[in-house]
Amino acid sequence: MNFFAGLLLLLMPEENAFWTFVGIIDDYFEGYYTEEMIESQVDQLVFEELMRERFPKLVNHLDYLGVQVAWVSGPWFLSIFVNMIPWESVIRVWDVLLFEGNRVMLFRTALALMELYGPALVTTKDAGDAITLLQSLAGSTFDSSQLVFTACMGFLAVTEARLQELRVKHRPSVLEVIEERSRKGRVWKDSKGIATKLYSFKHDPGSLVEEKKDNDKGDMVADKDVQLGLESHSSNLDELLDSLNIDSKMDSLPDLQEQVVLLKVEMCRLLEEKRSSILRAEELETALMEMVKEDNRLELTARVEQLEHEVAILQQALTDKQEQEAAMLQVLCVPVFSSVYFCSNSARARPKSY
Amino acid sequence: MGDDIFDEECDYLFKAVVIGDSGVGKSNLISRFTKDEFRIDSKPTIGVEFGYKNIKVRDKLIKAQIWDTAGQERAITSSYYRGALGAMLVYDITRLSTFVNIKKWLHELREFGNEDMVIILVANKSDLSHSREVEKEEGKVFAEKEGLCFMETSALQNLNVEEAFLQMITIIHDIISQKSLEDKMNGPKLNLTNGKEIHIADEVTATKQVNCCSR
Repeated sequence: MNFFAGLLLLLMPEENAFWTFVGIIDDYFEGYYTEEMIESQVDQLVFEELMRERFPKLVNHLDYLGVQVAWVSGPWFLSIFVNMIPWESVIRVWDVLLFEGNRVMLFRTALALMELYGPALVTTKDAGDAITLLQSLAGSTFDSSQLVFTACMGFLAVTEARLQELRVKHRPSVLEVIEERSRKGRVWKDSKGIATKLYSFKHDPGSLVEEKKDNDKGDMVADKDVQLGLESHSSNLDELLDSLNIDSKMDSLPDLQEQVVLLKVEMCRLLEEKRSSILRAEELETALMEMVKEDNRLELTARVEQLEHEVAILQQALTDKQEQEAAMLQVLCVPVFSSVYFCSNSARARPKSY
Repeated sequence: MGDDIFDEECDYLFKAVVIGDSGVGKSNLISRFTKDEFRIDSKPTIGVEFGYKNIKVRDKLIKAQIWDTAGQERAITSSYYRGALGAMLVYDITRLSTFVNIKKWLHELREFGNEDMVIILVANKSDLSHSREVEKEEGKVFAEKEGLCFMETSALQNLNVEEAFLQMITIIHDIISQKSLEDKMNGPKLNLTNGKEIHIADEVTATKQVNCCSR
């Protein structure tokens, strides 16, 4: 799946690649890339039957060596040949696949590869050699035209209808194996107890914690609005831890390690939140201080203005006083002069009158 | 293929499988052992791949054929284990779940594999001890309880990788020679019809070098 997602990303922008990917999986490979890979297994059985039909000698030989066809063809189908045959051949196969709109081309191509390399395989004497040989031969299928031609012309009888028929025939056996496996797994799991509970645990309490988280988050936000919220944070943390402890007691799952991890994660998240709100509080404080400072400045400027005004008034008063003084001096000087003048005049005149 | 030159000189061909969860480092262990390579960006294995290596054990040249498989493959069938003389069970010390699953793999091995298969438990990625989730003791205790060999390895740092494979192959060799000795004592001639489990393995060996087996 990752292999052909890579192919799509090489050919188109991310979003288009994503939707193409979704389309291909939903329309062409329904049930292929699931946990149990049911359809993929069914297809392998179908392919094996087709192989037996077409190349009985080769299959006999592989049986003798203990090679399962699916070991080699499985990866071909799952990767839609990406990384299995040369690039150009992959693209040619994809052309047909997308044009026809179903996975028939996968079967035809795989059968074509077997036809091309079957004769060489018959000479191998060991399972390892056979598989390695087939893998390396498939990897050097550089004649893409020959491959596509062999696939489309040589195996016309392999049609979607025929495949469906075979799939219906083989599906029950795959389902049966899976059913048995899971039943056995369950019995085994029960007997083994603790260790395997790790698995089931992963899902349930995780969601519980998730819910709790959401609720508390809501509370926290509300608190934050009321006050700066630092205190409420720590109290919430305690609350949360308490509730989690209760949860774990109630569930009484022996999965302490997992829980410890979950709690650690939760704690880290809360600490992070606390830290960020402390930072915000600090920021607000500095902002406030600055505002206060600015207020002072206004006051001071007002006082300066006032003082300047006073200074101006005083200066005005000063000049007024000076003017007054000058005027007074003038007034005082005039009589002195006149009296002197008068005295001298009278002194000069006095002898005349004698 | 390239190995054909050695085939005539080899005394034995041993098949061994490497199993364990996906991403524990099976492919890198094998490539470290067979080619002394390590790829940090290796892609997941799908299907089956192989590694070969010729080793000398007690004057015998042994060709080890190591089967690598996809860890996520749930559809591995009994035929995968057919004829395997050794199995390497691998888990990742930084992921507890891979250690838990060892039980599952062991269960499968005991169900499908032949009974005197040599099993070695390998705790890989010992270089990542800072994010260790499984203690060495836990692995050791488990191995002792189940009667397996145990070794902690690092394919990245090439720690104990060769030793682990060699130990497995040496034990296989000892068992095989023991068996063939017993067979020689019991029957006048070693042939494929007499004997039990081990002949599945010998069959593989015999197809190539009949002369070696019967000596």
